[in-house]
Amino acid sequence: MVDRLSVVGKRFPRTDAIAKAKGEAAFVPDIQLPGMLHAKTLRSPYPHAKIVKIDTQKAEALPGVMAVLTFKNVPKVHPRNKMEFLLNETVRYCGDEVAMVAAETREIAEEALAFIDVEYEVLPAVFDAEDAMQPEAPLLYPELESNIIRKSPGCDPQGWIGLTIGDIDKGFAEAEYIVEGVYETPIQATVSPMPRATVCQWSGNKLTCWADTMVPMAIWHDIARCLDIPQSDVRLIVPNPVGSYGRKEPEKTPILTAILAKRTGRPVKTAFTREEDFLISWRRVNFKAYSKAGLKKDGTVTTLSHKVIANCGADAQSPLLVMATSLAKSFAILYRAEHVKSEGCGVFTNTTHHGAVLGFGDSEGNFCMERLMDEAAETVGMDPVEFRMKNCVRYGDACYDRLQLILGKDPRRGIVGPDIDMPQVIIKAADSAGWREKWHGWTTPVEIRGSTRRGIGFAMGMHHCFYKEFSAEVKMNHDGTASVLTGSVDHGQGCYTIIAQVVAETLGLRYEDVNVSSPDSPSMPAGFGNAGSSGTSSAVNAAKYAADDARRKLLEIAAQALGCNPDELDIQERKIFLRSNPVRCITIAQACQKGLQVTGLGLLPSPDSLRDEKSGELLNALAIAAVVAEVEVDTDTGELTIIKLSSANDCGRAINPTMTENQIDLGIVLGNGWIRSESFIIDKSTGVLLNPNLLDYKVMTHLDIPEKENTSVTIVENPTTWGPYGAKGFSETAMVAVAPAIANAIYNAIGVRMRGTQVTPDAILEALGK
Amino acid sequence: MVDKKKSNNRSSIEETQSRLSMQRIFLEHFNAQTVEEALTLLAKHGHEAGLIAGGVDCISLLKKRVKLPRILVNLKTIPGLAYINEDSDFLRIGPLTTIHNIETSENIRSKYPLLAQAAHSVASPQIRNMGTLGGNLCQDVWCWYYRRSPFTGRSFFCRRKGGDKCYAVAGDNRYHAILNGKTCFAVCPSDMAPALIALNASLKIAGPAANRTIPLEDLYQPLGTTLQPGEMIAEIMIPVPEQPVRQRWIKIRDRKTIDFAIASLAAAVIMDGDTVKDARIILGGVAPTPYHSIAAEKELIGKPLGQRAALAAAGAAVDGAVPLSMNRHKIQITRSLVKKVILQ
Repeated sequence: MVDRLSVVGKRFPRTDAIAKAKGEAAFVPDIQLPGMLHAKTLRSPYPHAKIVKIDTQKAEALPGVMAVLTFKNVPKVHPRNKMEFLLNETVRYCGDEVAMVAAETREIAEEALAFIDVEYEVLPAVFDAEDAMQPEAPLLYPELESNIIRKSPGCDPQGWIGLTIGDIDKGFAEAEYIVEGVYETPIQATVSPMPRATVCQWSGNKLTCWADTMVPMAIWHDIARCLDIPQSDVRLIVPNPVGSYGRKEPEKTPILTAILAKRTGRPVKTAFTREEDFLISWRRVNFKAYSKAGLKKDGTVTTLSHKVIANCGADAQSPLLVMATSLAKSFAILYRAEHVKSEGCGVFTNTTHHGAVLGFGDSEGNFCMERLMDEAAETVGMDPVEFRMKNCVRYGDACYDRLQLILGKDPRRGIVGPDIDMPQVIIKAADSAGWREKWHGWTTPVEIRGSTRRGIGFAMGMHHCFYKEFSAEVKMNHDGTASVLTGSVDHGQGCYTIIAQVVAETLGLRYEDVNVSSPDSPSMPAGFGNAGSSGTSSAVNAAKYAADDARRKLLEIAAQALGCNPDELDIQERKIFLRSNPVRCITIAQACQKGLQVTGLGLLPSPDSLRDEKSGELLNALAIAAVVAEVEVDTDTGELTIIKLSSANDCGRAINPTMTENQIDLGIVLGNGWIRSESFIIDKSTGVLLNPNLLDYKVMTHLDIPEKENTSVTIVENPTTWGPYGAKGFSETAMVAVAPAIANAIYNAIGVRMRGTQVTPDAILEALGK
Repeated sequence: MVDKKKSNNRSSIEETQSRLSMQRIFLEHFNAQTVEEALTLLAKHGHEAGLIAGGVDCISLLKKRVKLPRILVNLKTIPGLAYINEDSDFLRIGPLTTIHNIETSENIRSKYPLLAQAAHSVASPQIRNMGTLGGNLCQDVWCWYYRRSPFTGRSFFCRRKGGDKCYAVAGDNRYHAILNGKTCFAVCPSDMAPALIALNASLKIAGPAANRTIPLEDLYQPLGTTLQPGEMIAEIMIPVPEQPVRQRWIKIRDRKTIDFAIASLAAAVIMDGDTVKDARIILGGVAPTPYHSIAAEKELIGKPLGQRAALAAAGAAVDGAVPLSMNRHKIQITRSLVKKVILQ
């Protein structure tokens, strides 16, 4: 079947491209309802303070103000995965929500903020994770008696969580070389093209909420839970969500907006400004990793130990999940060491909450790990590419699970699957970069010209690509077209395009015959949305199961009409026909009419059903990548120019190669920005985020990454046994190796290791002692 | 770590300022038809009036409530303020000429390349299309303390706003001044100013009493411009050079577009054979005003352009630089810029 694919593997334009390009697509902030009010938020000027007194009378008296919410008059419930309540008596970072106003216009709502009298007791604040671990540090949650997050069952009494393989003491004692270093990773903001917005409207006891999210089911459930109403009374609509990069998970705004709408009896819109979006969006966790590796003379990595301290901010989405991801993957199994101890602790600080951001722990873990491994390769005097080839993860290696780790269970879970061929990915990246010609050995730059040094660096990486329970429906229409219902969203990544291609392929339809609807909760099949590169692995996969089911039903109807067995039939080009005599056929439209309501239901089997055919072991959904960076450093000015980036990524199968390439490009841009320009700058004296705007928070532009001809994007296709047409998610993996490849290339250029957070001109000049 | 403080640690004046600035702004907007009308409106409303041309800086200041004028005088409705003309004495540029028009003017590109290069380095194409030369020269500083919106939780009532503190000194000052910092450490953000000063530009200023002409260099002072209430820029004049001038603009910034300079350099050199007859070295992004490095010029005049002169001038350019806690790298970068320009 795979040999004669007619829709899968083709470069169809995105389903949403034209409407979005022409400005016809409507987004949540575009929603206007009769009588709609506008909400604005009063934010904390302090990084840590207790609200001693809050008086909203003057604000409420302002003409046009309809309601004011404070911690005193909202229910004491915790939004999903949060320590904090909806609104709190204690504010824990600058910009934290103090009060919310709904008024006739946005301007009145803004003005009302000035009339809310707040008296704060300013509390001492702490921004650095290691400072926050000190016994005398101010506590964000005094009831926890420590800033170290200890609530997960997997934590030891001091708050450390981790896994042990073999015996590292023995490993280090026997090691012929030991390499160690302290590696830090920077914070990154998610910077969605659209700041978040939500609109809520009540009709009696029933709530309609329009939200911009990547996980509709979770936000739907959370709204109902926090408002203490049946989920069936909440209608959640997700029209054209916009790029999340991990961040558009449930948060409190829709719930607070719903409360304002209830109190006022009017629809209410909350739309954040760009500044607010920076302040309250959760940000990338930042690591400080104390890492150590033991090696044999022949270059075998025998032992790895990591102690990771993660700055989790003032509150956290499932606090340790991000860090545990890296402890179980990048730090533990990317290299096949006999002895591994990877452990970490998460720490609360008075900074913006951390949460899911593209790469989810593996970007951070891998940035540390691949800088350490570069040093290890140098210590044993091996070519960095050969070193990886020798030590990299392979099919059959033991795998570890972050959830089991957090829950305190045996973290071992199955194996790395046969779709993982790291040596192949390594070679493709190295070859496309011209590694053999350009690598002149350790401490020898590629080229020296005046004050500039050119260097080349390598890194590999891995990340999960969620395979998780998911469902979908394919409803066949009487004209033979198909409507797909899904719990996934298309926030720009192309998920609906991929669904349309897979469903069309399976049902013998054309690409344009399939229409995917964005979630509207009453008709939305269950599915956890788009997180952890789940789109292709789970959502598209469920749609494939649904299309298979619809296909089965269509063939049965056709078999009856044609007087044959369904297994004698094939389906192609909008027709169902007898394989032995294609003239005997009915159209898919006719079959749909005969069946009245032909609906395919797709229920993705449990992840525990994925088994390796050879060993019978559990399989894990993983993706891998390798990147070579060629950079130029001006040693006079510290300027860094990326000359060429070569990125090889395995996605199982490229259902739409254009979209695959787009995701690789995204990984390149975000990986560059993260360590080169996107500084998340918290003022050390006031705790204020100083650059919550697109001028001072510097997202990379097209001019800052190499041009198309110098960006080599290689798609590797080793099909999975479990994905739709062998495909799997990989988009986050496309980022994880970019940053360390750049840092390693800088080392090759200037001979100084960049172990800190960023590689900005000032950091480079400092490294050079200038 | 921040120590425990009492709740009144922020001065009440800062609280009041922040609160005042959050109130709704009611603006009266006038479309001036002539310069005289604009001047009359400015004279009538004094400090309450502001000018708007391209709006790039003005709208941002309004939205973030950094400035709260009650009257906006629109200059775009005055015909004839956007032009690039050259007579025998001066290249004359109208204050409403867009940066884009300067960047793409054939005459400027061939005879005053420094100006075209500096214009090309300004912000982004969209901003160059909207932004005017007058606006670029008069724009306010882009210090993140000064420009902070009260809707983020807090704004900063700093010295530039009449407060008693420059928050950058104890705070994050990676983009702030290394030279001549005193009251306010924000740097003059204009790219056009150093380039124009290097070419000896002067300004014709229209005011309530009469027009006056000043060297562009004299427009700047640490807390803003020397324009008096009721005055506006009427024309930017660059003397037509009598002999060939070697010109060069370099700007170092974080990204290759959009950003302001970490440090920039406008250089104009007149040669006499192999030796430098005259040189003008103007630095941007390093001081509260464009920084005219007479010391660097002295190291060049009368000498051949070479490694020795370059090193001497580079050293002289940052002589007296005092880095803040986070901007030491700007000294190295500035020194490298001077060296690079001279050696090229």
